[in-house]
Amino acid sequence: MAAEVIQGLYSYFTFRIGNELLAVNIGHITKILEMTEITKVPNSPRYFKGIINLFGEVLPVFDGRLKLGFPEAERTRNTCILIFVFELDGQPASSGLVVDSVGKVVIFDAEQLRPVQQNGKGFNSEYIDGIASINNESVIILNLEKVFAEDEISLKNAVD
Amino acid sequence: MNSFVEKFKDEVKDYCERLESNLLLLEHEPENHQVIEEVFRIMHSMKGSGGMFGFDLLSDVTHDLESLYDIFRSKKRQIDSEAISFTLKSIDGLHQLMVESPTSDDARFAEKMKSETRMQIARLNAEIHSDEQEDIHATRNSVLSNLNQNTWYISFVPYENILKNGTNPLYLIDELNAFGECNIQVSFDRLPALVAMNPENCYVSWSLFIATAENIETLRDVFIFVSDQAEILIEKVSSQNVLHDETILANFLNTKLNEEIWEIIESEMPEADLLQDEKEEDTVTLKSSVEIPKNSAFAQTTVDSIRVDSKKIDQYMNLVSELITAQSRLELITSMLNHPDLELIAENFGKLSRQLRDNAFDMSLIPLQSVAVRFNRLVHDLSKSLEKEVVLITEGMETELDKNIIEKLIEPLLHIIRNSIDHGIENRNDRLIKQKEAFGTVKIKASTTGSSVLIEVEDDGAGLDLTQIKKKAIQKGIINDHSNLTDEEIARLILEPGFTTAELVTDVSGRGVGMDVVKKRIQEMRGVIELSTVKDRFTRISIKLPLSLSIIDGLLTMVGDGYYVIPSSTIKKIHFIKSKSLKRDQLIEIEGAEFPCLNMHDEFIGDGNAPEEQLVVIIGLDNLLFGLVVDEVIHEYQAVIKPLGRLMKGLDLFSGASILGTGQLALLIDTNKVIKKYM
Repeated sequence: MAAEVIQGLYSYFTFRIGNELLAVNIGHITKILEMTEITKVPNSPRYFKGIINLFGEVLPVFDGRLKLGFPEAERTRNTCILIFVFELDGQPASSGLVVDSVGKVVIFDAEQLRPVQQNGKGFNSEYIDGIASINNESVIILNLEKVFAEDEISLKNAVD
Repeated sequence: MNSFVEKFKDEVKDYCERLESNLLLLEHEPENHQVIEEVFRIMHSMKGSGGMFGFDLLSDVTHDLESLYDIFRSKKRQIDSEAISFTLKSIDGLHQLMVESPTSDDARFAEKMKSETRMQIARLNAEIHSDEQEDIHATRNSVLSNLNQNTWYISFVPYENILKNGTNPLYLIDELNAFGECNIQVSFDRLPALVAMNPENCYVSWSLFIATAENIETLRDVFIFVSDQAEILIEKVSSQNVLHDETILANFLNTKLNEEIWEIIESEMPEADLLQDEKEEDTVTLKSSVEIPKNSAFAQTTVDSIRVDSKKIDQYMNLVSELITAQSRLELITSMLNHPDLELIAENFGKLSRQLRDNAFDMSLIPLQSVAVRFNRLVHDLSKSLEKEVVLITEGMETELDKNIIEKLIEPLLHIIRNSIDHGIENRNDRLIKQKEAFGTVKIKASTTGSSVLIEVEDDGAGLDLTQIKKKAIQKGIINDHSNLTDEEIARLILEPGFTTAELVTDVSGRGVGMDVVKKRIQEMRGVIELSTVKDRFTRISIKLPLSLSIIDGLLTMVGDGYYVIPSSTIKKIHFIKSKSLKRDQLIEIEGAEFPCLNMHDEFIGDGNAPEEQLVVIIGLDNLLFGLVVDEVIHEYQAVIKPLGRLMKGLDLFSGASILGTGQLALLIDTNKVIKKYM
């Protein structure tokens, strides 16, 4: 239940949202779930899909598309929920992210990661730790702490 | 090793608590000798285990404290409130000495405590001296050592051949006789028949009681040359001369016959002067010292309770609530499958898991008693520092509450007690003028009512000055001049932020953390606080709290396809209502009362498809009424509340979620926040 971030790994887990190939350090991933029923929480921002019951624990789930600035889309049979753990104020916190499909585990050495070009992509470059490539396709390495860091506040403010 | 040190620290905390409660007891019954014995014993255990784990400072300081209590234990003086207050202060100091690698500061602190303790001892000894006119014995090394007499029991059974190497046992007896008063018994038990007797053998044995100031070493030294020619037993009977008390001596011999005596560890402190006429109390001394082995501090703690890390209990509670959730799923599926064997198992499983839940729930509850000592301590300290005589009466301290609640409750309760003594209870003169008892009373009463606990703190002081409160509230802009408030509403004003009636801020209360914080804390725990007061008679503050924070009684309702739980404690009434009669931002009127409401369907879903007939759940908070309009009321529901997690702290309507039997989630409505937001 009390998942923790495993530090110091060079393996990354890839997934897709829209046409983008994204990855996060595998130390942050605790589970991959099939799309399940998500309980909506009224009066919350649109990218916050709601809460799920994960073996007796209540977890928030975010919509990866909306959170990262992609247009909303219908769910497909490949749609999954990735369960992440990340550090929030020094304590591990878990949450889910709905992604279009999941890929595989790859290993990148530090020299394979390139720094981000400013404004190169359609979403906030602050969320990105670096860029690598697999078979000539770019992989965006996400920094989860930063993606979720503002959510505590934004949930408060984004209510219309 | 570290875990031992942790255990030791726990143990010391435990000792300190027991010391505190015993000391507070002594305040009222200074002559209760058994309590003094207990205090002495705890100190002794603390000293011993402190030394064992390398907390030398702790053990040094406790050693001196122990010496101090030896004075009371040996009845040279009766304990007085100065000594009690001093000891309580020292106990606080002991916490500071719980360090494994002490710095020089710590050592200085310990030295200071020790010298203070010695001053106390000196003070008491000086009093003893002045008490006793004919005290002629000069002090030897310091003021600490003065003449004392212990009563010893010596049994001297020479072997038959002792005479063969020229020893004369009578000389030894004579030597003993020189040390002090003796009561000698000669035993001829071993004397054989005349024909069998060898005239060169010694058949005589001696048992004697001696009252002497000499220590056991000196007594032993008498027998040093015959130690391998005789059975010698030397035991302490009492710290006083009890030679003339037949009962004690007889009791002692009886116990000796019946059981083997444990060795009583003696302190190195010099003992009492003679108090020969206090025969009755002497009997008590003897009894309790003989009973030590049976009743020692170690024996009590191990038998009926064990220490469990509270995290483990939390984990256990979590597992149980998951089990309950799994069980209700099983029940649901069983009812669909219609399989008799499965039904039987499911039913049994359901019964067991409910029992398990109750059991787990019970385990996480602890009695208020566990914190009562802190109330006692506060009252003791405050009545000293404010120079008011205050008696604390506690009732129903065996009432059990979730430990999380108790932890959060301590500060508010202490604050209320502080207020009662500081602002409520008048000083002695005022009380006498008002023809009240000279001492004030603070009463804490706890009781369980259904799934909540009621705690009342009542003082028999001046009561709240309602005119003053109203004036102040107007001054501070909390209410305006024209507000027409009932007395009860005025009294409640002291719960508002920024309100303090104390004309002058004492160092006890009135430091800004006011009753508003108390109210906030209580409400955070879904509790309710109420006040009632009568001028010059009493002020009573009642707090009603749920038994547990993790399980609440709620009403399961439905809005659209979502489930929502409304805490039962806030619900006043439920009414049917036509949805057409509701408009946004409009007051609804039911039974002549008008109040605002929130149409949850419109607000949460907003599809305009609300059912024609809806229900309004009327909730009340601080005399305010508010309506929550839901589509459907399902049933009452005991909800296991799961926190939403820190990521969702920003959510301003819900304070948790509960997992339904189907695995679906229901959101728990935070009524305080809803009212604040939509009022």
